[in-house]
Amino acid sequence: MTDLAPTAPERAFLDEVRGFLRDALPPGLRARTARGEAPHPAALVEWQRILHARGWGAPSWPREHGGTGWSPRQRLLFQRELGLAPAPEPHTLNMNLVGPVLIEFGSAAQRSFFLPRLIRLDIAFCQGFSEPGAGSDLAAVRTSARREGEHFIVEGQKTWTSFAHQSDWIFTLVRTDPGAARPQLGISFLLIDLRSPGITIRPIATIDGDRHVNEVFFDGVRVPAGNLVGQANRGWDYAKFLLVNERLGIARTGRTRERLRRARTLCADSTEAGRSLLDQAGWRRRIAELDAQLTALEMTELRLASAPPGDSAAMDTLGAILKLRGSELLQASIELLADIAGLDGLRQGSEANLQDEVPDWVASAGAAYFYSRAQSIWGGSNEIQRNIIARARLGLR
Amino acid sequence: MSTDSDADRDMLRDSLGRLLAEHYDFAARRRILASPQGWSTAVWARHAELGLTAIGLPAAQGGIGGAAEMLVVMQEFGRVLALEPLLASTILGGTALARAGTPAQCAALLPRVAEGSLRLALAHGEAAARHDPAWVETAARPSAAGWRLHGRKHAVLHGDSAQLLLVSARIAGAAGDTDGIGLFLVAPDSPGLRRRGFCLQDGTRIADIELSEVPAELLAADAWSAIEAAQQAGLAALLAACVGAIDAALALTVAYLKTRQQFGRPIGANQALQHRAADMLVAAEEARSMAMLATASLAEADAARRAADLSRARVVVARSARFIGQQAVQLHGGIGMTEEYAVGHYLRFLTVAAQLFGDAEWHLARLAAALDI
Repeated sequence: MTDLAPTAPERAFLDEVRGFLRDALPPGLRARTARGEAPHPAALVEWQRILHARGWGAPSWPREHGGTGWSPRQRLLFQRELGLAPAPEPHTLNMNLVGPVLIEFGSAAQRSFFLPRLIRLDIAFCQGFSEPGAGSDLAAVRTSARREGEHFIVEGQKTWTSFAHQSDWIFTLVRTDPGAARPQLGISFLLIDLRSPGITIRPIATIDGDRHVNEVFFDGVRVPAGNLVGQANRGWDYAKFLLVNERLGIARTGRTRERLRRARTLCADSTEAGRSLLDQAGWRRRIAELDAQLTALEMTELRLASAPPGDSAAMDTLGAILKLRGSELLQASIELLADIAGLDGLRQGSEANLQDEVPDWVASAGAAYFYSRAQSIWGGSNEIQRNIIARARLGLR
Repeated sequence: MSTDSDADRDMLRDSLGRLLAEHYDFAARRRILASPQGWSTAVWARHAELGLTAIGLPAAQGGIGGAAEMLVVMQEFGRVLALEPLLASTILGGTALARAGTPAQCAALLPRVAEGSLRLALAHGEAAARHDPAWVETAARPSAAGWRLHGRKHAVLHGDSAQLLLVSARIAGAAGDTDGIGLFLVAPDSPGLRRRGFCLQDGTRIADIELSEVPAELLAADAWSAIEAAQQAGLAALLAACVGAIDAALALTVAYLKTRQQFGRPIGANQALQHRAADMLVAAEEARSMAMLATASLAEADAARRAADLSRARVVVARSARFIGQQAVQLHGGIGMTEEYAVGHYLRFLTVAAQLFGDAEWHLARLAAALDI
């Protein structure tokens, strides 16, 4: 039986992380993270540099590139503590998505230019994968990159691009060989500076009333050929590597547990006809039920982190399980907070004009709930995750 | 049987798996189930040879291994829906006796339990208690000739065939108090004792036991911690068996989805059924994680934390078991409803298991009361 409980060195490590977070996490950032709002870009840069100064800016990278050299279990325990604080994680797109691709497949020049800038958040990347006709079916991308001398000329459109309006660069999947035998074979992985002429970023308003995602248009954008990652027409392989990399932390159990604990506190502070919600069996049972389910997910992710590196099919499956249940429980915990907030959580308006009326956490609860519905859609919808489990693990097709 | 490492446990799993595959296929199990005793003396002897009947007992009295080995064994038992009284005798009886007995009592009895020649049953539950383990009304009174027990015990696992009963009875206090509960040894053929055997829906044998001024030998006058330890070990073992049954039910279902043809293709080609199977797999993995947690928690020193983790495990495994048991039958269609096909028997076992050692409602209420998250 795999021993799932933290070892003595791991407990010492946890103490170290907790002490660091107690001292180093700016209170304003903590409060904003707790409300589920995206941090201000400047605050995020400050936080990333604090983490980097401690040597913890890119937990999953090898030491030679400024990473930690931690075991999967240590990375998971670290991420949980960040979630429990709650503190933002190291910039996910830089550290968990494009960074590992550059480390694995990038040229020496790309690594030496980008990696130090990624870890300090001098450059923030966003992800240009989805297109109007290519959501879960990524191989259908149509945005094209035509080689012209030492440049690619990029034409097309990306969509659902999170944080494009707050990013400096975008990593994209572009079609470089329209005549390839299979759609997967004609795709390349290209890095594009968002300041390039011909790029237009247009916001997509979401049902939470905020701006998170964008459309990004490419109109004859000239991209230096040196920004091609790896080989031309091998982009599908790199994208697959990126998508299964760091699946370990995808369930975000620390954040969900922090929300459950907050739900308990907020129930204690909320009254109904003079009686605390925490004195009502229904609310207590709802929290207890979610706690039990979350514990099962925490144990499952610990099993994954404790397993020796094994066959990729099993890892794909466990990654899919973590995505599926992680998003469901994340949604359930946010839904619980929104239900505790009640009707007051559903008042429209900015925090500023509501703050005299209701507490911050109430004012943001409704928006957080609506935004949480995206969790089971992006990064491969939960239906796609079920397809993966059925195919890879159960052999159903 | 060595128990030092994962490799040894893999060997245990393999040898037990082979034994059960040879002697405990579905047809063999049906024959055993239909026999008057309801379980197989011959298979029990094989278990004893393998050392299974000694698992978790103190090494000084012939015990071997511990909770980790029990997890392996019970998973394999669940996979084949084994009917033999390992849980009742070694785990419940053995744990309670080892915790409550005097050194002399342990030395006299536990080696025989370990070698499988003495089968115990823990007669603790009472009808009025429902799932509350502290609700003991059965009374113990001292007399000139020794202790006398008076009351009724309810649904005692393998109480019908046990050769020695461990009976809990109140020496002091009121029903619901954890203090004042004693544990006693009672010979099943004692004067004043009447036991009526029943069969649960999955074939598990139980007995209701009536005690009328029955002579008894005291194990411990304050036996709550021993009883609780036995119930907790029993729950962890039961959850492991549930995981084995869940795995088997899921495997049968996936195989059926691949072979059963309708409309000219295997029914497993339908995405609705693929997604149901995927959800079953997720539920199975969560149950496995929690059975592991339950087993590990037996060694947890903090009593509140141990109790909470066991309750969490019970709740999650119960949810997974119900979903997978029901859906395994559903995806088989009509054949799943038939007595002659295995899948329905897994639903039966999982349904019975959900009612032992506290149901999900009772454990969830305990978690909700503490809400130590």
